[in-house]
Amino acid sequence: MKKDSLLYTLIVLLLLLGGCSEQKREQTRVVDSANIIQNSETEAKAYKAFNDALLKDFDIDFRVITYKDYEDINLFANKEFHKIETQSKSGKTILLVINPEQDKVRLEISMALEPIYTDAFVSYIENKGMLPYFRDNKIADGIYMMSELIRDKATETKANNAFMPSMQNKSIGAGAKTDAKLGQKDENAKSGSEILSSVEDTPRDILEKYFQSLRVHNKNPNLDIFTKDTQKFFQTWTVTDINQNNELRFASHCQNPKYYIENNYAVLLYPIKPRTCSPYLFKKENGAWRLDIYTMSKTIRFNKEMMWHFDMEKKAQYLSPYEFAFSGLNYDTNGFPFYKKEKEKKLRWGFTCRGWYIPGEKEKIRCWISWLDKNGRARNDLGLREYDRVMAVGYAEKRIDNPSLDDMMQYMKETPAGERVVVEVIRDQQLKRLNAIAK
Amino acid sequence: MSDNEFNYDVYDDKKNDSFTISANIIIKLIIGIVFIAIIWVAISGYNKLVSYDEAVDEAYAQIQSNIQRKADLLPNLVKVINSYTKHESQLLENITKIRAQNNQESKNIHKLLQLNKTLKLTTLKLFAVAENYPNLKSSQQYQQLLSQIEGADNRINITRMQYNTAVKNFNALTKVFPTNLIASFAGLTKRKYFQADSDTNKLLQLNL
Repeated sequence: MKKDSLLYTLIVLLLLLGGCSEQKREQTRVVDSANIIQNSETEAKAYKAFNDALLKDFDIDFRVITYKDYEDINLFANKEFHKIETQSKSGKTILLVINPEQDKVRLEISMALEPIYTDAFVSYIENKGMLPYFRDNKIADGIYMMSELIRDKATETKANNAFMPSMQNKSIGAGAKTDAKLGQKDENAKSGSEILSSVEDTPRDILEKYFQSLRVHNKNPNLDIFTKDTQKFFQTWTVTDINQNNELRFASHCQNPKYYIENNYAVLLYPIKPRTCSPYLFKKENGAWRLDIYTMSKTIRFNKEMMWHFDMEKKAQYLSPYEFAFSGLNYDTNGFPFYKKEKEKKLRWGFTCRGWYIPGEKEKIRCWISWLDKNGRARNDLGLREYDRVMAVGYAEKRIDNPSLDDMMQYMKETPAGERVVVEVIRDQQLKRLNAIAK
Repeated sequence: MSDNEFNYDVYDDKKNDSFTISANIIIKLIIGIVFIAIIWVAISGYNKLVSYDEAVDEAYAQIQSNIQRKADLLPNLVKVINSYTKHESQLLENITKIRAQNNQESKNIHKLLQLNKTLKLTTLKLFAVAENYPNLKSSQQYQQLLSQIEGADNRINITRMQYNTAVKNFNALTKVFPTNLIASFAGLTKRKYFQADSDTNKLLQLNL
């Protein structure tokens, strides 16, 4: 009894400590001494998730500090950099410092990242990517944009295998500083010549005119090629040169578009794969086709790999005039589209695993069943249920005890048709042994 | 006379012998420990001095490398400026001289200070020329070079501070006991700081 209670206390303490250190990390990733960021709780969560992913995928620890006094921002940034207890195992740390009193911003780069985030590059993303948001007083959005740009560059670097080997976390002053221009509206932020839409223009023509406006960094919100709602949307939406360049860059890889037209609505739909080619929506107003970016902004989202998916709630609310173009698609729980047949073909078993781990064994992610296709074999033949925790797969010499999530998925995928599949799960605190013949 | 007349005390020397042996061993042990401790302090003190000395050299090399970095950027700046205006080549000659001098091996902090000052002066002259050409100033190439030069300046500043910290740590070690004795024995003397030039706050005369 004593041993049990001691063990129980130990587990609780471990969980608490784990939670506390997690909280400590949460608290220190953004230190807003100048109180200028003012994230909502949802925004703060999204930002944290994004940066957790940056650390997990690239081992880059991105921190933000705001401060108010008059210490030189370059010296302050370097001093604070060396106080950071970085979570990066390879010395890859980036510190963004904002001082509203001096109206300065600086990005300090560790030695391990210097060849990737050069001074010129950092200056460019500060000025073209982040500052437009700062000028519109959208500090949190500007910082989020900076994280995205850091991630973009890291993705490219990883693909080219160009990261430096691990080194001590140190900075010798690499990075760049610029005027923050907080709240200083840019007169030219919404400038650009008019682009007219004519009744002869097809949706394809309108899209080409739109791409042309991106090429010349036309930020005029009142372009005739936009719907009225879109014009209103762009009055307050911050558009940067980098946003426009990125949209063009992604669009340039998109091939084989299909146009769907019904009455006064049209959709340009690219093949579902690659998932970086999001659809474009068009609406006829005053007899001419116009781009409906407003509805796109309400319904389409992108994950950290820039794969598009629908916000299913908003889709139901805003997308109904365009649904005719999406009738051949199904969606998973996160709104990622699949062709109807493709989804059916792909689901050999029809289940999804999500990860869990035993405290103290965070590196081994195990599987619990989070979703089952109601017509799928995992539910009906094998007998899995939601919330089952997988404790073993296979039998005899192929048995794997305490399999990781990857072990489970690989086992279910690779067991050849005709062979028996065995899965042991904990359900309602009882061990159950399930089996079925793979097809 | 019987044997009894020759009474003499028979001392039990065994007890006293073991006491003497124990005392001898302890004293020898203590001497040995003290000797080993002195050797250990001397070795670890020397090693610490050497590693701090190396840290100063490393920091010096960082300053040198960053001065070189800045000096390497300036010819590009001259090129960009020359595409807008036919400017004298004297500045380019100065830059070439700085690069050559910076490449020399000797670790002379005064020379490095002088080089840095010349570099600053040359950079200011170039910027002063660029001031007269708004198109040049707004060009992407110029902006990129500007950010790189500012970056190099910041690095020189930071590595200068890191050098001074390394020198401070090393010099402190050459003063405290017992490493001061080890330092003088090993010929390791105080290093000079990289001082900010008193001229830097004065207006520099620009010969354009």
